[in-house]
Amino acid sequence: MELTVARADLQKELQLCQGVVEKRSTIPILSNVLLKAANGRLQIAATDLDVTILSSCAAKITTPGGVTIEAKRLFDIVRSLPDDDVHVAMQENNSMLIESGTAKFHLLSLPAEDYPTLPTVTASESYNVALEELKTMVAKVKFAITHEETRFQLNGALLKMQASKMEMVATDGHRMALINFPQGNGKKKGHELTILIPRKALEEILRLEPGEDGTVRFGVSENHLFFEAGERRLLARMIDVNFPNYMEVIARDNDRHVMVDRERLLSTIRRISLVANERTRAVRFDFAPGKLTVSSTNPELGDARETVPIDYAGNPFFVGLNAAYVTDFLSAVDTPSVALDLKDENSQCIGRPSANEDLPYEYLYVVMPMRLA
Amino acid sequence: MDAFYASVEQRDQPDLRGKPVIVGWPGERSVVCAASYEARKFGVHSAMPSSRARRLCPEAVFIPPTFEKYREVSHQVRGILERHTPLVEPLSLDEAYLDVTRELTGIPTATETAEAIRGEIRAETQLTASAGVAPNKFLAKIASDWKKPDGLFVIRPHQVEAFLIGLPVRKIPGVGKATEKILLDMGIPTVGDLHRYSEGELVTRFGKWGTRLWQLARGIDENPVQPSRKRKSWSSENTFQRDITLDEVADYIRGEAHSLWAALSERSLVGRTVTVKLRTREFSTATRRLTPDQPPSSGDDLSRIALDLLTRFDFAPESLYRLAGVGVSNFVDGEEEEPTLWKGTMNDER
Repeated sequence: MELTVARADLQKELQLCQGVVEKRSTIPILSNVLLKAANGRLQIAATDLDVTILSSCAAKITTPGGVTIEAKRLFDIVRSLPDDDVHVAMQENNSMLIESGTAKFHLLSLPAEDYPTLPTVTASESYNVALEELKTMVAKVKFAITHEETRFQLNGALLKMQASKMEMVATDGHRMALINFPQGNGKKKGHELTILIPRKALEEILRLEPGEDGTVRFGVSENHLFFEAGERRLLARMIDVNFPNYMEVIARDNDRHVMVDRERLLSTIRRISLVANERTRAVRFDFAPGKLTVSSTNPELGDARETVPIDYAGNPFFVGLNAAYVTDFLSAVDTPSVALDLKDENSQCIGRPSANEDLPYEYLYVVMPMRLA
Repeated sequence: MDAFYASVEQRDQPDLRGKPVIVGWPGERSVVCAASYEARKFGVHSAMPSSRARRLCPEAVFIPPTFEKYREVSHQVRGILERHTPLVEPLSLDEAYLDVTRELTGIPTATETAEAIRGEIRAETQLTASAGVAPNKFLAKIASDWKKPDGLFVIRPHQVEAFLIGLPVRKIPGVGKATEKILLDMGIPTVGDLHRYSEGELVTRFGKWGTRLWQLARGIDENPVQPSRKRKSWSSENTFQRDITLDEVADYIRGEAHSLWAALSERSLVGRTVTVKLRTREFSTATRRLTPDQPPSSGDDLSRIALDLLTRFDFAPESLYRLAGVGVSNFVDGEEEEPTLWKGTMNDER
């Protein structure tokens, strides 16, 4: 294998692989990337056996071939190289020469055959949606995914493709984020589909870049999910979908409607939670006509309170909430104000972007209040 | 616990006994939270849409769930479990793993412990529970479902292989519909068939999960029972300058119980469980614990309970002790769990 490639191109693709390669794997070769040179392109692949990323960039190929080499080391070297062009050539004993300007590296590598076999896509059916829409969905629900690895049925986001809409939802059991884009005429391709996208694959979706048409093609191929955009292809092993019934927790009888400035509330909660109990992060929200009082009390520290103007005209009531759960949501919303649908201190609280904005999607967040001591 | 929510309702409303009872809201969008065994005969099961349950069993009585009550009973049962071991890992309100390797009340075998616990649950809550006894969590979970309701199933180490061989792959935790289909397509309907595949082959097919699958097929599960992380305890223990007699230990415990109580009341903590720990001159260590019906309400109260626990150790009367300690755990407020959107177990969407 021998080739010349632009440093910036190679660096970009290697960076993409860093999120997939295993840092502490019991299988050492999973710390590597696979490089293959053929037909004017350098193909780069990384896998942890569950998530696989395949990418490529233009290169001047002198001799086609392949090799596998430690991903992190190669990335660190490439981004430090002095010149814009990188010359790569395989030499004897699996020694890989990397040359740029007057800098020369000889790195130990392994033959490409040693790398795990990568899954291939043989999809009969796929969906095409705007990559930006898919990324928006991921960005708006990702934070609600559980961090408890053992709850594998929640260790990802559920994506549901239906005739009328595409929907994504994530939960950790305490709060839930749900977003859907209505699907207009002709946009729908294929049958209904329900898949669980693992957390790691969601991170990679955010790194995909659109091709000329701006879309991402995705679907199920045998036992893998695949996502294709531009030159990149992401594959994730299918997990059995055993997601809880999420419609069941969206309360429909929350009759107290509050509108509040998003950034004002966000900064207030961040301040007030500084003295909240570090474990529970409990903050109290007292709603009264025109006024919300956010407060926290900590027997070991003291207390804090602040009022925020709101649009509300009903009876006074309060709820206790985990501050982090609220700020996660407020940070994910784009609109200047948010609408809250509430009932009482024991019932699910619902938040959405303000309906005054013309958004292409519906976004909803549900969080369970906590009992305050 | 067998048909937990439904059984609690039948216990509390005698006219429901023997009748098909469904805990859940009857509405269009609702699902069944629990079904009594009478209702299950009609094919009703939890997580089924309520409308479907109603069609299958029109005479069923629908009871809206009262989770406060179930949580209370769950606490009561938890107290019973903790008499036998501190290593209790709750899975939900009505299921828990117990590590009874070191049983606290002196019951010699796991099977007898399971029977004792089932008996105590029946006597104290008027509810029935089923148990599975096995060398690890994976097998215990399968075993606990084997003789439901009101049953006990034991898998001894030498029976593991014979038990697993005929087991459908779907019984393996983590094998859902999709994985089951892949396995069936590979010609693997039972766990025994899985044995034909090497670990490497399963990893190639299923990724990291392949290793776990390979292990489970052989009954290997090293995951320890993990007691709830949220539970905290306060304790005080001391290694003495010289080894002391049981009488001297009693004096020490009495004093420590009072200072422990002072520390707890300062922080408004009310603990349900009292633990006493002893280590003999020969380095043999044991603990005894008690969760009384009413949590200790004063330093004297705590001291009385601790001294009572002190009489329950099995060390020889002339033993000398190098360490003693007293602790309080299972706090009434401290164990408040984070609020959840789904009550009890999360229902499968399908």
